[in-house]
Parts: sequence; C-alpha cells; structure tokens
Amino acid sequence: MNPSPEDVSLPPEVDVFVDLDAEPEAAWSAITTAEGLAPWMGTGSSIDVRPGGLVALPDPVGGATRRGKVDRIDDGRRLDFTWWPALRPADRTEVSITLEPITGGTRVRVVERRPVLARTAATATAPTVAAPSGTRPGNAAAPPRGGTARLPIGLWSWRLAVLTVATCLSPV
Amino acid sequence: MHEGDPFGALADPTRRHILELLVRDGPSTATVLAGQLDISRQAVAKHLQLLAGAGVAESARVGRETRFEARTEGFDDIRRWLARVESDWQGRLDLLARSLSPTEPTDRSADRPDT
Repeated sequence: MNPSPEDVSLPPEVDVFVDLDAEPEAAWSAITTAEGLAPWMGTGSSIDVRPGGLVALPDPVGGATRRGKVDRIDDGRRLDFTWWPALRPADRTEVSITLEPITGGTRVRVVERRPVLARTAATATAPTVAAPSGTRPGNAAAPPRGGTARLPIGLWSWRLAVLTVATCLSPV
Repeated sequence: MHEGDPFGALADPTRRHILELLVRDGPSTATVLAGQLDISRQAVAKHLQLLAGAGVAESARVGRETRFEARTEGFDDIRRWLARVESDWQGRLDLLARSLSPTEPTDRSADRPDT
C-alpha cells in the first residue's frame, strides 16, 4: 500500500468535533470542572484551569490514567494542555479543545498532536507551529448540520474520515 | 537506524511538500526537487536527510547522484497513532454529548442528513 499524495499534505494530527445541544457555558463546565469531566473523563478528574495548572484524568476510554499540564486558557473558548499516560511520562501529546457557538448549541473541537522535538524543528528552514484549529482553511467549508457532523474528507485525509456523532442534536 | 521523529518530520510544510512530490512523481534528487520547489538545493538536501532519518524517506546512490524516495513503512506508525487517538476522542466526545443531554436518546439511528 503506497501512501497517496493527500496523505502527507496536512500535519499528522487528529482533529475531531462534536456538536452539543448545550450552551457554551455548560460545555465549558463539562471540560473544566470535576463534575463536568466525571461522566466522560472519569470520576476523580481534575483540571486546575490556569496556565501551568495540573491535569489529572482517569480517562477510562483511553484505558490509562493521564496526567498533564495546562498550556493555555482562553476562558470559555479554548483549553490547551499537554498530557501523558501516568506510567509513560515520555509519551506526551498536545491537546487543544475549542468551543464554538453554533445554532442551538456548541461545537467542541479537539486537536491532538505529538509535540515537535526541538532537534527536528531546528533543522527546518521555516519551522512552523501548526495553526490553531480555528484558522485552518478546511474550516471555511462548513460541515453539514444535522445528526451527523462530518469534515470534508478530501481536505482532511489524515483524519481518516472523521465522523463524530452528535448524539444530542436531534432535529426538533 | 530511524531514530528521527516522523511526526516532527511531517510537521513542517516544506517537508510535507517534498514528500508529496516523492509520493506523486516517484524517486527524485535534491537538485530536481530544488528546481520544483524554488528553494536551494542545500535546504532540500537537509529536509531530505531529516525525512530519511525519520524513516519516511530513503536514499540510494545511483551513479553519481543520490536519489530519494518515500518509504511506505514509515507512514504506518503515524497511521496507527492517528487511528487510535481519533477513536479514543470519538469515544470521549460521545460520552460528553450524552452527559450533557440526559433526556435525549443517544441512538445512532437518530442520525439523518440535513437537506
């Protein structure tokens, strides 16, 4: 199996989103408070919401308790953190969660990438930090609204046909 | 052998472009690629070395020139990582959506496209 040209046209990062039937304030609580995190990141989750704050997430879905550190906060809109499995601290990745108001709810978008090692970046003639997800050109093409949110696959081939089910956006 | 970081290698747009050309057009040299990309041969050679070090390209001497080509196996780690991390996030976001909508059914069959 040969890689296709599109395979390498975008940075190797995961980019998924879900549309929630909830106000941005409620969504922000769900990603920043112990009570809000518990149902999806596990009981005992905590994020100290300030730059450098500690992150502790049981993360039952990922199957390994995770630790982390808050990198950036844009109150109510964006939370960036670096995290790693508690038992494998070298295996760290960067996560950016952004909230965007949409009609009838909130879009929660998650981008996760591996950090670029200084050694690798130094060799580049034009080292670049991947653009924040909000400014990516693909965002111009609004995904269809409805029960299923979908990214334009041609533009997002690294994302392996992202298809996040918006379970609560049932049309009234 | 490939002690480099394939993720870091592909984080740079110029290197992704170089790799795209190698994937699309087949094996090439730093000189040819430099002409296509309008950057110096030295810069291209550096990028190629880094791509090779990361295991996503490989080089072979052909006569007096060094030819580079994309290395398929080097992409496997990236694909696997992306698939796993994406699947995890879809699982988490599903739970998140349910937690904020306790009264709504969370059945996938409720999905239907807008017209």
